[in-house]
Amino acid sequence: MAVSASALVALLSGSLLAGWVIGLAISAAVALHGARVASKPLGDLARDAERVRLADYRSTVPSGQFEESFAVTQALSDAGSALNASRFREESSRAELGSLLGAMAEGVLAIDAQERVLMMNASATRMVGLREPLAVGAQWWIELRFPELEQALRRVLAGHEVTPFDARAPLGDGSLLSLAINPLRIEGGIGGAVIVLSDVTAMRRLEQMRIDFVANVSHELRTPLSIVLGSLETIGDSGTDEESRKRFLEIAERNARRLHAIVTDLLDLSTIESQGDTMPMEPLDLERAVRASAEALRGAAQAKQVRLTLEESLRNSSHTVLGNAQRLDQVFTNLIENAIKYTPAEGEVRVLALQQGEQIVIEVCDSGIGIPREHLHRIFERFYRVDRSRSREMGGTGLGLSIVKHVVKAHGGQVEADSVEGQGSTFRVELPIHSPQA
Amino acid sequence: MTKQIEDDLAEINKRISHIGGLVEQALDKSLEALLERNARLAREVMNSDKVVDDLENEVEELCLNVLALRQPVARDLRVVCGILKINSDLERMADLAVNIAERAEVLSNVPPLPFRPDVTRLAATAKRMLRDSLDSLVKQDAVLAYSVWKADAEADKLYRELIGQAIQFMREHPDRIGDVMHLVGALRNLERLADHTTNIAEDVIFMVGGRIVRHHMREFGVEARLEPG
Repeated sequence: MAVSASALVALLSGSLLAGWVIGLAISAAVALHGARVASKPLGDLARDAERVRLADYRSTVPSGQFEESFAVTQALSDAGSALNASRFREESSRAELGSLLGAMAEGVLAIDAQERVLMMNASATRMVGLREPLAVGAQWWIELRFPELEQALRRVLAGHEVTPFDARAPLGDGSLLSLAINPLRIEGGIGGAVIVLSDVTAMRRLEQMRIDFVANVSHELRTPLSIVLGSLETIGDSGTDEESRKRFLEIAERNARRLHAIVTDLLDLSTIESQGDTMPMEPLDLERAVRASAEALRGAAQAKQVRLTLEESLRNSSHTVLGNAQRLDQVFTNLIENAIKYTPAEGEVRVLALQQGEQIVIEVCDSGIGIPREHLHRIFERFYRVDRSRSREMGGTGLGLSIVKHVVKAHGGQVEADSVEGQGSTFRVELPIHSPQA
Repeated sequence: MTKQIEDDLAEINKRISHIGGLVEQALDKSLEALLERNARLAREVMNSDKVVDDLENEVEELCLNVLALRQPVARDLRVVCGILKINSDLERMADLAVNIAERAEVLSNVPPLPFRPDVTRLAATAKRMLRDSLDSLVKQDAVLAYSVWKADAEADKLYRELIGQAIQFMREHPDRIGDVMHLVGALRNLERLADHTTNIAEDVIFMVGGRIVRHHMREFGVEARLEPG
């Protein structure tokens, strides 16, 4: 019995130990599993947070495992969506701004207080003559030498106002730019500047032409007027004898006529310009019209001993154009009269016609003094004189070629001049041939 | 201290590039005045010289300040010394541009002379040399600087050809010797301006590599070809 009792104790204590061990093992396993189950979503959350940093806002945490982790996951995901939306808004508004600035005709260049480039649009790049826009963050003056901008920027960044000014483009074609520079104001001072560039080459040229025109008109009108006034004064003077009176009367009359001619031409020119497309026109035989204008000047040519030749092509052909007979007569009279005027005795003026596709071309060629190359492109401007003193001696108002150009333009054609100095000039008038069906 | 010297050097670089821009503009205008016979443009150049003179003094003062207060070493020291020399080169070049403009004004009032195409070529070469030398300075590009030095041979050749033509023309038209001499004067100033651009190029090579190549450019050239960039 004692044996059995001690054996039982042994058995009992053995199984107790075994139970202990087993119990410990089981509880350890359970704890480990529990920990793993609980920490898995946290690991996922950490990965999610990392993805948020990388701007990927989709959550990978399976929802519903634990109440608390679900709440965190949800919050994270909401924050992600909100961030995503605001980033989208920001990106689309930046793209909008970019395309807006890119499409602008004005050039825009923004720089910070250290004169580093913040942005530069395509127009600005083109205007200053660069191939590519300046790199963002680079100092602008490394790629671009632009002294006027440099000077103005220094003043703007120092807090001074700079009124918009003109400057020649630093690289390239010598076009004229207008620069407006405004400071970028931030708290506590000036954080940079925005430069707006516009190409004013054409505008300034027009302004100059207008200024020249007004100056020329005043000059051209005043000269004969002063002569008239001076002559009249002398005539009225009691000490002037009869013969001088007569001479001054002639001078006054000649200059009054000249004044009249200029005013008439000016009015003509403004009528032609304002009529434009509405100039009354009818189908007419162009060659016949040119022959008539030329024949009327035969007397003037003979008086100057200049041979006036109407070429075969003009005498024996006929093309219909839609035109205003009186104005076209003015064109050809002007051209042929000029040719005769600037051709010395024994010289020749030839007038010919030729067809070029849908155009009929009338050419007036002379063997006169010619026009220097540098003046050729300007002779159709009002009052433009190749040689001031000589032109006035020759008479003429200085408006003839301008009228020619405007009339031809109103007819849908064009006029060109070509010349070799000392050998002669050729004026070509191209007009569209009229086809009744069209 | 390092940051301060960097700021100072950036400021000096900006000023010298500003002077460079003004010289470039003066040369552009004086050459256009010469080629297009534009007296108004010529006078514009003559009136603008003072700005360069003032800026030259500013740059010199800045350089001396850096030398005295920051005691630069190595490359920084070379840059300051190089810019001091380039500064006086540029000032001289502005004067040469004014001389060209003065001749251009006279020539705009006499009948045209027949050398326009060749003068245009020499002008284009000199303008390119100036542009490249200034670019090599602001970008510290020794290879570009070397190309300036090479272009000088072309400028010299064009200049000699033009002088030959001018002498020939004067023989044939003794009545126009006075006019031609004005053109020759303008060309000599232009050729000297081109020489100054090679000085700038040599100083840039010194700044970048620490080698004095003045009068030894030929040997440097071999190396530049061997190791471009």
